[in-house]
Order: sequence, then structure tokens, then C-alpha cells
Amino acid sequence: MLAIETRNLRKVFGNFHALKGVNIEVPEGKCYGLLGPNGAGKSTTIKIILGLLTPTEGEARVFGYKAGSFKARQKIGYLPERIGFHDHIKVIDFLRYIGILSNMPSSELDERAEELLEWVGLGGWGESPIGNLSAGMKQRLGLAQAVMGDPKLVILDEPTSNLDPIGRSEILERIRDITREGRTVFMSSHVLPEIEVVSDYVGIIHRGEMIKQGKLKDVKREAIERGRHNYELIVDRPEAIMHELQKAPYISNVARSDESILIQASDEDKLGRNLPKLLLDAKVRLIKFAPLGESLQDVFLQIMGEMQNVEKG
Amino acid sequence: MSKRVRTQQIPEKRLTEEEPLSERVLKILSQSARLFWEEVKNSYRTKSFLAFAALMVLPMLIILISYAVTQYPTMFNRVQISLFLNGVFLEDGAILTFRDVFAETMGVGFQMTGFATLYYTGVPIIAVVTILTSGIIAGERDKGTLPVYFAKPIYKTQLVLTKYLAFAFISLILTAFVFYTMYLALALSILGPLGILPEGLTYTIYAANNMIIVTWVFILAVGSVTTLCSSLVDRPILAGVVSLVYLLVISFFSRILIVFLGSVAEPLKYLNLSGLANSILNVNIMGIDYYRAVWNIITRAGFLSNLILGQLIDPTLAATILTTIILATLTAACIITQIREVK
Repeated sequence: MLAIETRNLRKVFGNFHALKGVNIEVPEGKCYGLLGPNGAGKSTTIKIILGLLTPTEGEARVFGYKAGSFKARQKIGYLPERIGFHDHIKVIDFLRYIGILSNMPSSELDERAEELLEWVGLGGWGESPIGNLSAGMKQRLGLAQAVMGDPKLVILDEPTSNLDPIGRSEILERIRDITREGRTVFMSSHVLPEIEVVSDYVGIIHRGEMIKQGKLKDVKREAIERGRHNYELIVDRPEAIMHELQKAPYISNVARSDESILIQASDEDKLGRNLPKLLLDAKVRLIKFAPLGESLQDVFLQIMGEMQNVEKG
Repeated sequence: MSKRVRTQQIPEKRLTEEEPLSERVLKILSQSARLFWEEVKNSYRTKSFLAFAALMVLPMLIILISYAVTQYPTMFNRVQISLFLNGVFLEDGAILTFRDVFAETMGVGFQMTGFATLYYTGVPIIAVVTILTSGIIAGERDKGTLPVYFAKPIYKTQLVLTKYLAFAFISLILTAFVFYTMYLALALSILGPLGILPEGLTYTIYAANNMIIVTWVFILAVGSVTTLCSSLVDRPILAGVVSLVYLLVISFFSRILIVFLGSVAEPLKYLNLSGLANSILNVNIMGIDYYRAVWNIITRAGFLSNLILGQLIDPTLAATILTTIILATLTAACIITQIREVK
């Protein structure tokens, strides 16, 4: 059974094509990480799955039910990217409210809310107004509310953004708990090491298109096999050497991804010998030069690089 | 570190096509009732609620105290004189009915409660109710909680209505408290010494009920206009300002415009919430006849009376318009919330 299935999802805002035919398949009980740079279409995809936005074309289903339908929504818990709270409301009352929205029986509300607060490390904070919580605690409360009502599918939009490293690892640990219980998790992030830690499946979305999707280990293996001659280069002024790199005979492909320059070498030996001079001549400062490895970060960079080459070609 | 969530079987009781409609409706109603009660419980902690409560209760206390200090000492003589004059002018010299006595005595007391009427359907209440209700939808949109709520199995209309009803409930409690206190104090101080308190209580409660209903409907109308604004924009402050400006322009400039422009600006009075409320109050204030009500207005409103009288319309029409405004704006707010996408 698929927890989420989208077919040819398109969304147009005015002239802007936010999604250009996205297909997603999320198996039940797994953690699926949706990756992509900012503005790639991650939140739009999530909002269509939740039924908050209507797709311009295509369809989305949640456990076989039309996205946004009453039955689909009965199965979903959701943590938005920027969740805010009413500071005057007590922590426990907020969770009670979410429980009632999820149609939980009154008798279970308080017990379940206390349990979830304990789980996210907010035990004893139930009676405090939400305004008294720190940013990290609020995010953990956000996670607790996403699980309140025992949803089969938990959708998390950038769950670790704006958190310090300790806060991040705590949230990730809780996300693992959620999958261990047999719930499906669908999370988006642009922080790749996080997705790598918790996800079984990944989808990489770029400019509204799903460019790679599958089991995490398959996606990685495939990328590594194809990307044997790929290098990541970081310098202080990438624009100053892009042209030179493109002209170099020992380089078959060059692409930019944010700070990084992705280089595919046709002759690795020559690249190693000539690159220092090229940098010297262009008067740029070298920050990093390394072959792309097995981390999801590297895989992502490589796929992004390939995408840009395809666009150019 | 790794505290496990209790692993519980996710219930498979889903709403299926076969579920009878009555059961489903019952479920929605019970969910709404619970949401409503949570809203009521949470609302009293907000600053805007405290401001609302203060603006409702404090003026009532001030009015009562100033009445006790300045009016009451002379009140008694005036009541007796007024009763005496009435007695003299009755043609057959018959005994006044109790109703007449009550109307006369309370009529004098209305110099006090009349001021209250102007206040409770006036600017301060418009302003504070606007602030209180401006966040009904826009507040959730602004905080980013709206997508969380709408991702849950509820109807958007349910959310709008439960929040609005919670506001309606709270304002009913406050309004009832204010007017029962004021009228009972008045009855005790005037009817008590006259020795007609037991009979007068029924009338007092009746008069207070009229005031409560009309004031409450007025507050509801202000709240529903603001709820509509709240469904249209993304920030509560903007919803509040738009609604407040609209209501104030309609309430006050319309009065002035009618005085200066006459019939051209006449239709504006049908949209003036304060004017509509006053139109109902002046007749229903105690269930007494119309001329006496007008007399009440003149005595209590002084120089403002011309402006207010210019605003008066038929009370039944006024009540119909107020109710229509509430229903229409609420329906519009529900429809807009239903169709607006959540970004």
C-alpha cells in the first residue's frame, strides 16, 4: 500500500511553474526524504498532498484517498516549516485542541498529550503558556502535535530549520521513533546529512521536477558509479574561473551549485597538475577541492551538476 | 534518551461511505462543541479579552458610583413629583397602573442607563470588539497554525464558526453581567424605598433582557463584520484596522453627513450598527410606548439627540437589518475561508 502517491503534479502560480509534473511514491511505514534547494517546490508538493493547495494538473492520493479529502486528512499529522503558536495558550491545551481536531475521544486527550510531551522532552511543561518555551522547545512541541491523534502519516516540512545542532539531533532521534512505530514519515529538507540519517527513501526535486527518486542506498550507489570522475571545488570567487574551467581540455563538464563548482574530469591527471596554476592566474583563493564521495551531500551535488549540463545541452 | 512513544494500534475506524449521515452530523457537532469549549477556555488569557472585559465592566461601575453619589440623593424627590404630576393629570383620577409607575420611576433612572446605552453601542466597544475578533482567521494565518488545523479532518467552516461562537458566548456573559447588575442596582435603589420592589423585579429583568439582547446583537454584528475582514487578509492588525475604519466611518460620519446633506446620505443609516441598535433599544427599552421612548432619548442624549433621532429607523426593520448583517458577513467569512488557499 502506498502512503502517498502523486501523478504528474503540476502547479502554476501566475507565470511561475512551481511544479512541472512531479510523481512521488511513498511506501507505507517508511521514511521518505524530499530533497531540494530552496524554492525547488518541496513545500508546494507537501501542501498539495495535504490538500491545502489544489494542483493545476495531476492528482495526489493519501492511502488511496484523494488528497485533501476528509478521509485522507484523518490519517495525517503535519508540522509546517514555520509553525507559530499563540503564546498565551497552555502547552497542554494546544495539544488538546489538536487532539480534538483529529477527532480523538475526550477521555484519551490528556493522557496522550502528557505522554507526547514526555516523549519530546517537555514533561512538566504542560501547564506553562507556550510563550515561555524556547525556540527549540517550540519546535519539539510542533513535532508532538504532528503525532497527536495517532496519524498513520506524519508530514514534516523542514523540521530542523532554525535549530542548533543539539536541537537538530534531538528532533532527528524523535523522527526515527516515529518510523519505528510503523508510521510513515514524509519530510522535506535542504540539509542533506539529516535526510541521510533518517530516510529509507529519497526524492530529489529541482526547479519543480523530480529528478531522482528511490531507495536511499540505490540512489547513492547509482550516483557513485556514474560520478567516479567528479570533483567538488569551492573558491572564494567562483565566477572568476568558471570561464577558464569550461575551456580547459581536460574537463568535460562544469556546473555550479550554490557555493560549489562541480567538475567532471576527462583527464584526472591533467586536472590535478593544471588546476593550481589556473587558480593562481585567476587570483582566487582555494577553499576546497575534493572528489565527490558517498555522502548524500556529494550525490546531491553531482546530480545537480548533471541537471545543469542537461539544461545547457 | 530514546523515549518511545507508546506503540498503539492505529485505529481503523474510518469514516466510510456507509456511515449514516446522522452519525456523521453528530460527530461533527460533538467535535464542534468540544472545539468551542476549548476556545472559550483559552480566550480569557488574552490581553484583548481583558481589555474587552475591562471596557464592559469598569464603565458600569463608574456609572453606578456616580449615580449613587450625584443622582440618587435628588432622585427620590423627582420620582415622587413625577408620580404626583401624573396622578394630577389623569382625567378620571384613577389609580395609576403599576406599569405606569414603573415606567416613570425607571424613566428617571434612565438618565443614568441612557448614558450606558450610548456607551455600550458606541466607539469604545466597537474598537475593543474589533481588536478581539480581528484574529479569528487572520491570527491563525499570521501565526502559521492555519495549515496545521486545515490538514486535520475538520471543515473550515467549523473552525470559523466555533471561534465566532466562543466570542459570542463570552460577550453574552459579559453583557448579561453588566446589565443585570446595573438594572438590579437601579431597581433596588428606587423601587425598594417605594416599597414596590417585588412587583418591579419582573419588569426590571424584562427591561434588562431587552438591553442585553440588543447590545449583544450589536456586539455580534461588529464581531461578524470584523470576522469577514479577518478572513480576507493575512494579518490581524490589518483586519482590525479595516473593520474599525469602516465601522467608525459608517457610525459617525454618517450621522454628520445626514445632518448636512440630508436625504442624499440617508441610506447610510441602514448600515450604521450603532444607529440600528439604538433604533431597537428606544422602543423595546422597557416595553413602553414609543412617545415615552422618544422622551427618554431626548432627556438622556441632550444635544446629541438630533443626530441620533436622524438615525432612527423602524425597530423591526433595524432588527432585521442587524440580523442580516450578522448572517451575511459570517456566511461570507466562511465561504472566503473555504476557498482561499493556505500559503
